[in-house]
Amino acid sequence: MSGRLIFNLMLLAVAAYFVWAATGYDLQGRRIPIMIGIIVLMLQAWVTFQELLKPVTEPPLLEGAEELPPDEGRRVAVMTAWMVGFFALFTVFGTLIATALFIFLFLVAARALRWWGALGIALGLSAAIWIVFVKALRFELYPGLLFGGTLPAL
Amino acid sequence: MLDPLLVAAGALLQPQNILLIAGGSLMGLIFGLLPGLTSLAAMSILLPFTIGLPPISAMYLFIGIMGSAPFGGAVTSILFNIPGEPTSAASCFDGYPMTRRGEAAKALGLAAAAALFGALFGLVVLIGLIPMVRAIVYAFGPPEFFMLLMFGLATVAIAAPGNTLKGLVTAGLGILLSVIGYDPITGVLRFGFGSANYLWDGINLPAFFVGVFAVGEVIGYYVTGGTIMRAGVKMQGVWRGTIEGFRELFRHVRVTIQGSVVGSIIGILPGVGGTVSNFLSYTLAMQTSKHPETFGKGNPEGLIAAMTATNEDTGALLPTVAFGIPGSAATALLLGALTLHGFNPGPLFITEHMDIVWALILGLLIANVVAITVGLAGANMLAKLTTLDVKFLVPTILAISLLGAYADRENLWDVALAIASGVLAYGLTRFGFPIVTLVIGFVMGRIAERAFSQSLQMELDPLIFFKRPVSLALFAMIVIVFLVPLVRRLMARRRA
Amino acid sequence: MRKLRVACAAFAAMPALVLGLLTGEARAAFPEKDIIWIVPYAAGGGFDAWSRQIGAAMQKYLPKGITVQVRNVTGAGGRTGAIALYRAKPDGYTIGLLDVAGLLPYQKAVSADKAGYDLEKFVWVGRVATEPWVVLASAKSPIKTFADLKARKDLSWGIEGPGSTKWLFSIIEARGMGLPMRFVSGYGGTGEMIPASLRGDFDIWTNAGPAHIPYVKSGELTAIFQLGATRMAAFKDVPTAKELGFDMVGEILRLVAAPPGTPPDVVKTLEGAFLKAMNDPDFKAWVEKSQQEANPGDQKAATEATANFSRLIEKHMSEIGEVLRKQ
Repeated sequence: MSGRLIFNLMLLAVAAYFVWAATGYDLQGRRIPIMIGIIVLMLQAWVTFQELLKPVTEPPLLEGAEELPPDEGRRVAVMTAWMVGFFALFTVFGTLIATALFIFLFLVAARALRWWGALGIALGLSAAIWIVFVKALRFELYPGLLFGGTLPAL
Repeated sequence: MLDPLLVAAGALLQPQNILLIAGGSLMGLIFGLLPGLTSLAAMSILLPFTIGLPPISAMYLFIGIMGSAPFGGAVTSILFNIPGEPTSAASCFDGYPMTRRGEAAKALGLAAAAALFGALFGLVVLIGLIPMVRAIVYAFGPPEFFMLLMFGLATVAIAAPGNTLKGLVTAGLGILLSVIGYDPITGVLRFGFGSANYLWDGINLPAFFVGVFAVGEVIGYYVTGGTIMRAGVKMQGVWRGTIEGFRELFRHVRVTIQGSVVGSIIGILPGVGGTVSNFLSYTLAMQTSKHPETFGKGNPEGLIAAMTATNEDTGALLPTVAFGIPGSAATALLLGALTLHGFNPGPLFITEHMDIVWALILGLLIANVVAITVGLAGANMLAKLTTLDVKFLVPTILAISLLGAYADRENLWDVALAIASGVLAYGLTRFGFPIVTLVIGFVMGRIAERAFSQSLQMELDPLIFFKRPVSLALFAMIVIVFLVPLVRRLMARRRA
Repeated sequence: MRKLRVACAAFAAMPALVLGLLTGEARAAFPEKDIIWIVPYAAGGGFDAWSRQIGAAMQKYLPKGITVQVRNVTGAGGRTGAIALYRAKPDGYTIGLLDVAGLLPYQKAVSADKAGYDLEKFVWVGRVATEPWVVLASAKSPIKTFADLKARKDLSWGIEGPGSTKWLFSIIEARGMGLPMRFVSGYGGTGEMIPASLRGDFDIWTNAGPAHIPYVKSGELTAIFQLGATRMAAFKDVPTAKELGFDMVGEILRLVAAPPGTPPDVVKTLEGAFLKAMNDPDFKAWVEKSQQEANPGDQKAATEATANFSRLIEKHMSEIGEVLRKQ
């Protein structure tokens, strides 16, 4: 099953979920979600069906994606992992430390700069954020769980 | 009438106010630039600082922010394909391809000129329509509002780039996502997935926007690598490019005026605002052009249409100034600031405080001038970044964007939301689903549903949409919009 | 030998002395750093304006250099901010302004555990204002007096949404006075409701606060009756519910609170600064200029107000609770 097919099926599942969940609400609350959900289901079913019939030659809409690299899937996974890692850093250590660490680690891993160049940019950006937000605007950045931050109510 | 103008102008000459309006414009440029951080956020952050200031000074500060933010937002749209503000999303479509061709300076110059024109036009409309404001607000009740939104959705759905079927799917998806949250009609939290607090207000717009545009784009950068400006292309000179950009504006008078009109009108209607107006203006320009297929590839008309329609702030000032009633979130804050300074803005606001109104008008003009001068200079410096390998841009843009996602509500989960939306957006683009319609469906979905339900609650009559003249007229326009392309196709077939 | 014992005793006594000095010192020195004031609503709104003005005035009556920093923690109709205040450290450095009318019914409907806060456990610092609710209609509508209302078979009330305070007080008014009631909801706030009312989207609506005052003064809105204990200064010709024969008093309760467990002496300091701020001449000038009415009260007044409100909604809890539990 190609990634494309899986993605299309996922969209189908999302639409189906909304229709199903909407049946639990009263008339005024469910009419629009059910109506739109069913329309999306029908359209997306047709799109998925077409996808099955003739696997696609249509180019992706990415600007500049004339040639996608062959290891695209891996790259997406790696980038997603980096972002999740950033979120973890952000939650535990707070905005400033997470930003500096993330930029430093990323630039070093991508071999874009030597470690001192990466460190410079990382610290420079963090310092700029600190000056503009904390000092000048008196805006509170997230302190991180380690430094007394709390998780907002879910 | 003229006395208050002199008061406002005189206030402008005070060094304190010069500093404030300059500072405000600068803040507006920076916050407009940074994805996720909006001019509204800048105003909220600066609100406490204004407590000790005289009211006119506070107004100059705020309008400085409001006036220069649209251009700030356009800079990142044009250079990085990442809108800095929801109002500059449509500027990506034709601005970014121009950057890739090495014409960044021209694109920036054109954007600045278009934004200035739109603002001036909007101000003229504002002043001209003041006597008619009440009639307009009374004519646009929930049924008319609903019809207008449907008209917007119809125009956009038809003109969605790429596959129309997939465009409709993402639009529907956007509408479904927008429905998540507390429903003010039934009082029920819908599709909350068990979250009683986080999803109460629905999916947070700035975080979602950052995710869909900034994060999605950054993932794309990482996957494709390379530089933004195409390899082998030479970047044009800054001076030459900018002047060329200015000149380009005058070669497309029709589109320029069209976009300004759309922006002004949409801005007047409370609640809809800038996110809709720039898309609407863009698709309208595309549909009325002789070569719609050139849009999205660096056609200056696309950029003009997008930028002239960012004057919705001027439109939103109309009910604010004439009624004391906010036309947008930013003007709501403006009114709140006035309350903080001891006013109680109401229907007599414009007669009793005309000097404040003039301050807002003059301030808007100056902010735009600052945007054109300082903004352009700064933007062209940033343009050099488009020659760098994207490896450098990925972590920095990501960190700044996610900070923006966090900063709107200071809620940690918004960062996670942005990341998740980004992955979704990348997938959508990768497999041929336009994300533009996703965002439009999201922005318009919930308010359209609300207008619909309100209309039915008003008279308990489902035919209410057809019994009111303005609503009926709008419905007729929707039918026409759908019929015209069909008729065109039929006639083309007959000729062939 | 004796010298050694004395020395030992003195030595042993030292930590106790130092500790005593330190804690006594600490308690006497509150506040030593900035105080955070949580506003569970957006910047630019009514609660926000009150908080900033009172905060600024309070700074004059606190030790020099201590500022009061207002922080907006928005979401879930004010509940996110209330929860944030409830969970904050009870050391006196975090306080907040709460809209009790917006928070109490929800807590009663779903229980304090599920709500995330318990209004009975908050430590009250004082009362800011009690603005009475007023029932309004567009001047263009034929409804002018209470008798007109009673005569109608169908009345549409404009509200923001089920669960909001306008909804709550519409129920209290309609059910308490035997008026017909159906809703037109979905408006984003008072700012949207004023033009909607003038436009004729609905028959009547109820509001508290200064926003509608200029419109009543200019004659575009009619105030039909008010729910204060006495007539508001701005509405001298408008009858109160009490005068019309109904035992009903409905007001917005703007109360300042500290997290549960805040020590009483710290609260006393806060209360003192708060009351002085409410009587500060600059602050009072602002209140008058913006056409509002303050009603300063101390901790006791705040506690009493909450209890009164609780009694008021008791009668309607079954209807209210049903809606709130669905959220």
